[in-house]
Amino acid sequence: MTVKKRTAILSYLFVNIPLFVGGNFLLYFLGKMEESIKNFQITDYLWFNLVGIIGVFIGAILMQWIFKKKDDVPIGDERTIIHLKNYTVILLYGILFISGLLLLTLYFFGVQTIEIGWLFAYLAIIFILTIFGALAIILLK
Amino acid sequence: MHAKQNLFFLLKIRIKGGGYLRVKNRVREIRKKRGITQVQMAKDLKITRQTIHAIETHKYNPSLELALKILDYLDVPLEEIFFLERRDQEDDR
Repeated sequence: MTVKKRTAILSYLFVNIPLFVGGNFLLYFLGKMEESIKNFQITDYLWFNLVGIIGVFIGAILMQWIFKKKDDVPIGDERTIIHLKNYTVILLYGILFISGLLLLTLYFFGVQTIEIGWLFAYLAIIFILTIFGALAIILLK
Repeated sequence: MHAKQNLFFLLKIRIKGGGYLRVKNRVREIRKKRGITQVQMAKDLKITRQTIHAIETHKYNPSLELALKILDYLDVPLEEIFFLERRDQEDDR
Protein backbone atom coordinates (compact mmCIF):
# COMPACT_ATOMS: atom_id res chain seq x y z
CA MET A 1 0.00 0.00 0.00
CA THR A 2 1.38 3.39 -0.98
CA VAL A 3 1.77 6.21 1.54
CA LYS A 4 -0.75 8.28 -0.43
CA LYS A 5 -3.39 5.56 -0.29
CA ARG A 6 -2.72 4.88 3.41
CA THR A 7 -3.07 8.59 4.19
CA ALA A 8 -6.34 8.73 2.22
CA ILE A 9 -7.75 5.72 4.12
CA LEU A 10 -6.62 7.10 7.50
CA SER A 11 -8.13 10.53 6.72
CA TYR A 12 -11.35 8.86 5.65
CA LEU A 13 -11.49 6.86 8.89
CA PHE A 14 -10.53 9.95 10.89
CA VAL A 15 -13.69 11.62 9.60
CA ASN A 16 -15.98 8.59 9.75
CA ILE A 17 -15.16 7.07 13.16
CA PRO A 18 -16.31 10.19 15.10
CA LEU A 19 -19.46 10.14 12.95
CA PHE A 20 -20.22 6.60 14.10
CA VAL A 21 -19.39 7.25 17.74
CA GLY A 22 -21.28 10.55 17.73
CA GLY A 23 -24.22 9.00 15.89
CA ASN A 24 -24.58 6.23 18.45
CA PHE A 25 -24.38 8.74 21.29
CA LEU A 26 -26.96 10.87 19.49
CA LEU A 27 -29.39 7.94 19.35
CA TYR A 28 -28.70 7.15 23.00
CA PHE A 29 -29.29 10.69 24.24
CA LEU A 30 -32.29 11.25 21.97
CA GLY A 31 -33.80 8.10 23.46
CA LYS A 32 -33.14 9.36 26.99
CA MET A 33 -34.86 12.70 26.44
CA GLU A 34 -38.05 13.44 28.38
CA GLU A 35 -40.13 14.08 25.25
CA SER A 36 -38.35 11.45 23.24
CA ILE A 37 -39.86 10.36 19.93
CA LYS A 38 -38.65 6.83 20.46
CA ASN A 39 -36.64 4.87 22.98
CA PHE A 40 -34.05 3.35 20.68
CA GLN A 41 -33.47 -0.37 21.03
CA ILE A 42 -30.40 -2.44 20.18
CA THR A 43 -31.89 -3.23 16.72
CA ASP A 44 -32.09 0.51 15.97
CA TYR A 45 -28.41 0.86 16.81
CA LEU A 46 -27.60 -2.12 14.58
CA TRP A 47 -29.60 -0.63 11.70
CA PHE A 48 -27.95 2.74 12.17
CA ASN A 49 -24.47 1.21 12.10
CA LEU A 50 -25.29 -1.07 9.17
CA VAL A 51 -26.61 1.82 7.07
CA GLY A 52 -23.58 3.85 8.19
CA ILE A 53 -21.12 1.14 7.12
CA ILE A 54 -22.84 0.84 3.72
CA GLY A 55 -22.69 4.64 3.43
CA VAL A 56 -18.97 4.62 4.24
CA PHE A 57 -18.32 2.01 1.52
CA ILE A 58 -20.39 3.92 -1.04
CA GLY A 59 -18.52 7.09 -0.03
CA ALA A 60 -15.17 5.33 -0.49
CA ILE A 61 -16.21 4.11 -3.98
CA LEU A 62 -17.40 7.62 -4.87
CA MET A 63 -14.08 9.09 -3.69
CA GLN A 64 -12.14 6.63 -5.84
CA TRP A 65 -14.34 7.52 -8.81
CA ILE A 66 -13.65 11.22 -8.26
CA PHE A 67 -9.90 10.57 -8.09
CA LYS A 68 -10.01 8.53 -11.31
CA LYS A 69 -12.19 11.08 -13.05
CA LYS A 70 -9.57 13.74 -12.39
CA ASP A 71 -7.15 11.87 -14.65
CA ASP A 72 -4.30 11.67 -12.11
CA VAL A 73 -4.35 15.42 -11.58
CA PRO A 74 -3.99 16.12 -7.83
CA ILE A 75 -7.22 16.92 -6.08
CA GLY A 76 -5.61 19.48 -3.77
CA ASP A 77 -2.59 21.74 -3.45
CA GLU A 78 -1.41 24.85 -1.58
CA ARG A 79 -4.41 26.82 -2.85
CA THR A 80 -6.79 24.19 -1.45
CA ILE A 81 -5.13 24.56 1.96
CA ILE A 82 -5.57 28.34 1.81
CA HIS A 83 -9.23 27.89 0.87
CA LEU A 84 -9.72 25.43 3.74
CA LYS A 85 -8.07 27.84 6.19
CA ASN A 86 -10.39 30.63 5.05
CA TYR A 87 -13.33 28.23 5.27
CA THR A 88 -12.37 27.31 8.85
CA VAL A 89 -12.24 30.94 9.93
CA ILE A 90 -15.57 31.76 8.26
CA LEU A 91 -17.10 28.57 9.66
CA LEU A 92 -15.91 29.35 13.18
CA TYR A 93 -17.48 32.79 12.96
CA GLY A 94 -20.66 31.26 11.50
CA ILE A 95 -20.95 28.65 14.24
CA LEU A 96 -20.35 31.21 16.99
CA PHE A 97 -22.82 33.64 15.42
CA ILE A 98 -25.57 31.05 14.89
CA SER A 99 -25.00 29.52 18.33
CA GLY A 100 -25.26 32.94 19.95
CA LEU A 101 -28.36 33.77 17.98
CA LEU A 102 -29.93 30.43 18.85
CA LEU A 103 -29.10 30.88 22.52
CA LEU A 104 -30.64 34.35 22.58
CA THR A 105 -33.75 33.11 20.74
CA LEU A 106 -34.18 30.25 23.20
CA TYR A 107 -33.70 32.63 26.12
CA PHE A 108 -36.33 35.05 24.80
CA PHE A 109 -38.72 32.15 24.23
CA GLY A 110 -38.36 31.35 27.90
CA VAL A 111 -36.28 28.20 27.60
CA GLN A 112 -34.21 27.77 30.76
CA THR A 113 -32.73 24.31 30.30
CA ILE A 114 -31.61 22.34 27.26
CA GLU A 115 -31.58 18.56 27.28
CA ILE A 116 -28.27 17.03 26.36
CA GLY A 117 -29.93 15.17 23.45
CA TRP A 118 -30.54 18.48 21.67
CA LEU A 119 -26.92 19.49 22.18
CA PHE A 120 -25.86 16.22 20.59
CA ALA A 121 -28.26 16.81 17.70
CA TYR A 122 -26.85 20.34 17.24
CA LEU A 123 -23.29 19.04 17.34
CA ALA A 124 -24.14 16.32 14.80
CA ILE A 125 -25.62 18.89 12.41
CA ILE A 126 -22.51 21.09 12.74
CA PHE A 127 -20.21 18.10 12.23
CA ILE A 128 -22.00 16.84 9.10
CA LEU A 129 -22.38 20.30 7.55
CA THR A 130 -18.71 21.08 8.26
CA ILE A 131 -17.57 17.91 6.50
CA PHE A 132 -19.82 18.49 3.48
CA GLY A 133 -18.69 22.12 3.33
CA ALA A 134 -15.02 21.10 3.40
CA LEU A 135 -15.64 18.48 0.67
CA ALA A 136 -17.41 21.08 -1.45
CA ILE A 137 -14.47 23.49 -0.99
CA ILE A 138 -11.97 20.78 -2.05
CA LEU A 139 -13.97 19.63 -5.07
CA LEU A 140 -15.38 22.89 -6.39
CA LYS A 141 -12.69 25.51 -5.72
CA MET B 1 -16.37 47.58 -9.78
CA HIS B 2 -17.74 44.07 -9.99
CA ALA B 3 -18.47 42.54 -6.56
CA LYS B 4 -16.35 39.45 -7.20
CA GLN B 5 -13.33 41.56 -8.12
CA ASN B 6 -13.39 43.19 -4.69
CA LEU B 7 -12.14 39.93 -3.19
CA PHE B 8 -8.85 40.30 -5.03
CA PHE B 9 -7.89 43.56 -3.33
CA LEU B 10 -5.41 41.59 -1.22
CA LEU B 11 -3.37 40.81 -4.32
CA LYS B 12 -2.69 44.51 -4.86
CA ILE B 13 0.20 46.38 -3.27
CA ARG B 14 -0.75 49.98 -2.67
CA ILE B 15 1.96 52.53 -3.40
CA LYS B 16 2.64 56.08 -2.28
CA GLY B 17 1.00 58.77 -4.34
CA GLY B 18 -1.95 56.59 -5.35
CA GLY B 19 -2.22 53.56 -7.54
CA TYR B 20 -1.03 50.09 -6.79
CA LEU B 21 1.35 47.37 -7.84
CA ARG B 22 0.12 43.98 -8.87
CA VAL B 23 1.97 40.77 -9.58
CA LYS B 24 1.34 39.68 -13.16
CA ASN B 25 2.62 36.69 -15.05
CA ARG B 26 3.03 35.27 -18.52
CA VAL B 27 2.44 31.65 -17.58
CA ARG B 28 -0.39 31.15 -20.09
CA GLU B 29 1.56 32.76 -22.91
CA ILE B 30 4.69 30.64 -22.33
CA ARG B 31 2.71 27.45 -21.66
CA LYS B 32 0.80 27.82 -24.93
CA LYS B 33 4.02 28.54 -26.82
CA ARG B 34 5.41 25.24 -25.54
CA GLY B 35 2.19 23.41 -26.44
CA ILE B 36 1.59 22.27 -22.86
CA THR B 37 -1.98 21.81 -21.66
CA GLN B 38 -3.20 22.93 -18.24
CA VAL B 39 -3.90 19.30 -17.30
CA GLN B 40 -0.40 18.18 -18.28
CA MET B 41 1.18 21.06 -16.36
CA ALA B 42 -1.00 20.29 -13.34
CA LYS B 43 0.07 16.65 -13.40
CA ASP B 44 3.77 17.53 -13.71
CA LEU B 45 3.75 20.20 -11.02
CA LYS B 46 1.42 18.17 -8.76
CA ILE B 47 -1.10 20.98 -8.43
CA THR B 48 -4.74 21.30 -9.49
CA ARG B 49 -5.78 22.55 -12.92
CA GLN B 50 -7.88 25.20 -11.17
CA THR B 51 -4.75 26.61 -9.53
CA ILE B 52 -3.06 26.98 -12.91
CA HIS B 53 -6.15 28.75 -14.23
CA ALA B 54 -6.19 31.04 -11.18
CA ILE B 55 -2.50 31.88 -11.65
CA GLU B 56 -2.94 32.52 -15.37
CA THR B 57 -5.88 34.83 -14.80
CA HIS B 58 -3.97 36.66 -12.02
CA LYS B 59 -6.48 35.68 -9.36
CA TYR B 60 -3.92 33.82 -7.30
CA ASN B 61 -0.26 34.53 -6.59
CA PRO B 62 1.61 31.23 -6.17
CA SER B 63 3.83 30.63 -3.16
CA LEU B 64 7.56 31.16 -3.65
CA GLU B 65 8.00 27.39 -3.78
CA LEU B 66 5.42 26.93 -6.52
CA ALA B 67 6.68 29.97 -8.43
CA LEU B 68 10.20 28.45 -8.44
CA LYS B 69 8.75 25.11 -9.57
CA ILE B 70 6.98 26.87 -12.46
CA LEU B 71 10.25 28.63 -13.43
CA ASP B 72 12.06 25.32 -13.37
CA TYR B 73 9.30 23.56 -15.30
CA LEU B 74 9.07 26.16 -18.05
CA ASP B 75 12.85 26.73 -17.92
CA VAL B 76 12.72 30.51 -18.06
CA PRO B 77 14.20 33.21 -15.80
CA LEU B 78 12.02 34.81 -13.14
CA GLU B 79 11.67 38.20 -14.81
CA GLU B 80 10.31 36.59 -17.96
CA ILE B 81 7.33 35.14 -16.15
CA PHE B 82 6.58 37.18 -13.06
CA PHE B 83 6.68 40.97 -12.94
CA LEU B 84 5.10 43.86 -11.09
CA GLU B 85 2.63 45.98 -12.97
CA ARG B 86 1.83 49.49 -11.87
CA ARG B 87 -1.76 50.62 -12.11
CA ASP B 88 -2.78 54.21 -11.46
CA GLN B 89 -6.51 53.69 -11.48
CA GLU B 90 -8.74 51.31 -9.62
CA ASP B 91 -9.55 49.23 -12.70
CA ASP B 92 -8.84 45.59 -12.03
CA ARG B 93 -7.87 44.23 -15.41
